[in-house]
Amino acid sequence: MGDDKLNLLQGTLDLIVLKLLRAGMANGWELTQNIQLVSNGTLDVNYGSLYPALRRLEARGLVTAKWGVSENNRRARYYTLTAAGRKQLDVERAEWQRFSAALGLILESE
Amino acid sequence: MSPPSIWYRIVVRCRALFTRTTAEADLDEELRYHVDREIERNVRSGMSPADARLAAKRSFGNIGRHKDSVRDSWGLAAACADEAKQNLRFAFRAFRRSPAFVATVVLTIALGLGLNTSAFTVFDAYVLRPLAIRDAGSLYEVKFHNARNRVQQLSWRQYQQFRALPIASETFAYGFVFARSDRRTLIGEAVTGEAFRVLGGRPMLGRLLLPEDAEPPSGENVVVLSHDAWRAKWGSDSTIIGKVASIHGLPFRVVGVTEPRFTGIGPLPPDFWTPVTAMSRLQGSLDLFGAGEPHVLRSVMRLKHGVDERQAGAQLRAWALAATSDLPDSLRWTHVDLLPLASALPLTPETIAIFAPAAVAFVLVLLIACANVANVMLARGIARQREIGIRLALGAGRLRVIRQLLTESVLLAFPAALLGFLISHWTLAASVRLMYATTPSSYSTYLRVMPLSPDLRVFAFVLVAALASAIAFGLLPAVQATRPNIVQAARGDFDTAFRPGKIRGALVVAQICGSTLLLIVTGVLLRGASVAQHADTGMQTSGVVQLALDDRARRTALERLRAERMVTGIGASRTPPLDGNYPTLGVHKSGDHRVTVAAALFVDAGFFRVVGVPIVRGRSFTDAEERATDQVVIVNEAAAETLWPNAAPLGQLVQLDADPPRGSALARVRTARVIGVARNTVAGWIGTGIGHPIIYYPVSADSAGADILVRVSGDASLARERLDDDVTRVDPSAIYEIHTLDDYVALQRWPFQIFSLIASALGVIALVLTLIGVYGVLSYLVAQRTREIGIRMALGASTMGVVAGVVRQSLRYSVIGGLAGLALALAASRLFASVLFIVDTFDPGGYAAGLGAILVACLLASLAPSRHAARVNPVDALRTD
Repeated sequence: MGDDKLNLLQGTLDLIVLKLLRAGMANGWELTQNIQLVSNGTLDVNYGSLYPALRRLEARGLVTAKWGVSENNRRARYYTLTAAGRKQLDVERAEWQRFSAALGLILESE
Repeated sequence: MSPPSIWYRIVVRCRALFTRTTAEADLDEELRYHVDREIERNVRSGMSPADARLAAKRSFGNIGRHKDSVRDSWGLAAACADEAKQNLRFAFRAFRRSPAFVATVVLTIALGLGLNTSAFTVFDAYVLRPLAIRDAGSLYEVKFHNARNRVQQLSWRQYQQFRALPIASETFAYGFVFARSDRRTLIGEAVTGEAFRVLGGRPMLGRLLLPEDAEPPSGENVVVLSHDAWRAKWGSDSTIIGKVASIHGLPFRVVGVTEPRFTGIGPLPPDFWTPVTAMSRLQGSLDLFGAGEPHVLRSVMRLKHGVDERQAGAQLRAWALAATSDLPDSLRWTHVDLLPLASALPLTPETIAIFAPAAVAFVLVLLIACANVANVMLARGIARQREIGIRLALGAGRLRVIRQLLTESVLLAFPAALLGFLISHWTLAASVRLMYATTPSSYSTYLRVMPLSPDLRVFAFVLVAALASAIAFGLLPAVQATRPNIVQAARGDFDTAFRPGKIRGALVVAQICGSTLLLIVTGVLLRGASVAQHADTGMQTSGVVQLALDDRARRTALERLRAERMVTGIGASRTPPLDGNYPTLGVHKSGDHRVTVAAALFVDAGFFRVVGVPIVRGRSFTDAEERATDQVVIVNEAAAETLWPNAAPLGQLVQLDADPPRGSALARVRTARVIGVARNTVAGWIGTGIGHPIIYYPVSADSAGADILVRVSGDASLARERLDDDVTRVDPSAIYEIHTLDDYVALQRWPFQIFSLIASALGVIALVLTLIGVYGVLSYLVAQRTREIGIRMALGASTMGVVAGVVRQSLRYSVIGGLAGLALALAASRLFASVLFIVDTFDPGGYAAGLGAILVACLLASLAPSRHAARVNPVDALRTD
């Protein structure tokens, strides 16, 4: 893993997944691609934590999963945001913004 | 079918049980998709397919670990299910490798479980299972006792008062009736009209009894048959409703047959129910509704809601005292028992105390079986030490391995439970058959057994017992097997840290201890049975037939008997001489108020001749004395010695200590003069021995209620049949019961036989299990020490010395275990010495037999291993490893 890539902060993967699914349903591989794409390759998602995270979100009822056909005509598991997931995304986003604002204040203060 | 295919099918079923499999497959596919896309992308960016695959795999990392972390996210329950699945698969694989081991364990545990399940089924049928009657929990039989603690029955008038008490929501009354039908004795219950409304039984055919069937004073001659009697005595005649059955020579219209489960209210399901109005007709007794007011009714009541047993008991006692206020104090009803009818036998401390010793014996056999299996498992643990050691070394948690090993135990317990269940089914069927076969033949019609079908409680018992034994035989070996130092284990070197020999030795000693206890009990009971078998009754019982006659036919029957050529003598006794009861009475000599407790019998002069009891001093009763119940008395030698140790008994006066019931025969002999002394006999029951004081008052063979004893020439059993035929031909209702006196004796010996049979079965099984256990441990020791033995022999030890070493080991086990068992047996003997008769709980012969059997078994068990040890070739032995 190169120095140019960042490890994810604890607990942020859920938020990222929820945010990406907001745009529409996606399968696991697409999600990893999107994360790299959107973060300009800065964030490297450990697959070992993505799939457990997806199962966790599924168990909490924030996303649902069903088998669909991918763009290359293969069976793939697609995840969709639920209404509860949407609400949770808003809550977590607000929290993150407050947190990062507060962190910014602390780090900027001299 | 070969075992693997069975296992395989079970595995497939088990797998289907875990819906986890689909989730697992989903995850597999999802991850595969991910990797494939990754490869695709790599190919597109110009890699060779092989490189692309490699790169994708590298970037993805350890798939197994990813899966694990996904599984972790599934939570604890899922993880457990997953582990259980692995454990199961692993266990089945292990079983397939060693079918002999599986068979041994399953058979041993099944045997122990089977025996225990049989015992529990009996306990369940009698004590736990609710009787098949409506709301059995609130139903009570009320027993009134007088001041002398004799149970008293109600008269019709008293029952009417009882019914009106404000504590009961429903009541009914019943009395037992004995009747003969087609030369078989039937036990019936005469019930008041509301009985079946209270009991709530359902008919299988026809209807049950209705209140109008028992309308006093005469009612109708109708009868409801029990399912068992209908099957056994009326050949399951499905057209029986409306037919007339001859019961005790009287025509009774059959109106119904009960459903099979219905057994009425007690442990002895009756053959028939009939209205209480038919009671006097059947029994030839005083009219229930007449002025004689016979006390023949037993009362049953359902407690009103909100009334508890104590309140009810207090009210009943108050009523009973008031109802008997005109009686002398000693006869007033002072004590009331409410007997719950929730089950055939009430679940009281007394009932539990009766079942407890048997339960201990049965559980002991199961424990011995478990110890055996634990020993086998320990040996297997050693064989698998390398495998387990490696698993531990590779990072398996110790608890995880213990769980794995326990899974195997539990898995073995299930087939054992199933087989045990079958074994209990067979043992129960065989036991019931054995019971009928060992009962004196003329008594088998009296035998009643509650339906012994298994129910949910029995199933639950088997499962719980199986699981408990799985833990019992599996936990110790599992803990032991996972104990050794990993490094040593991986090297295959266990001798220093791992000493299962000690535990196995302890298990064997415990086994021997339990077996010794069981065998001593067996020995003691067998000795008791033999004592009972040879117990002297003081009478010449062979060649005597005893008849209970219907008083209405007494004259005709006696005439017929006197005319029989095979009858050589006729006697009478008001209490059957050997029926197991010994009606005791407090008496004292005139002028001395110290009370002697004696058995009181009313007999005639013929009695002494028929049963062969000589009058050793004085004379017998005269005809006139018998007819008048004169104030004369014959005492036996024991009574004479107790009452007048220093004086001649003839001419002395015997006085009753307490007031006898008014109008009773005893009331006429309140003070009686001794006219003779009879040789000692047992007093009704062989358990009392022949030294018990007996007092004989005169009665005539013609007087109501006297049993008739006839001495016959030739075989008594044949004579019994002949007499039965002849008398029944003159009057079909003349005989209530007819048995040989020897059958009465056999019946008294029967419980001793049965108990010693059960104990023998348990003892033999325990002995065999112990023998196998000792053999297993010794064989293992010899195998383990082959090298040591080889060295010893190479250094000049003799073959004899080696053999002696093995035998000594066996003896050490048996002596330690035997002594511990002996101590337990002595402790148990102290507990039971006071409640057992005839059986001498400290009988040295029984103890010696038990200990001897164990010692011999241990020596036998050491034969093969010691021979094996003797054959060790030093050169070969030193070459191993």
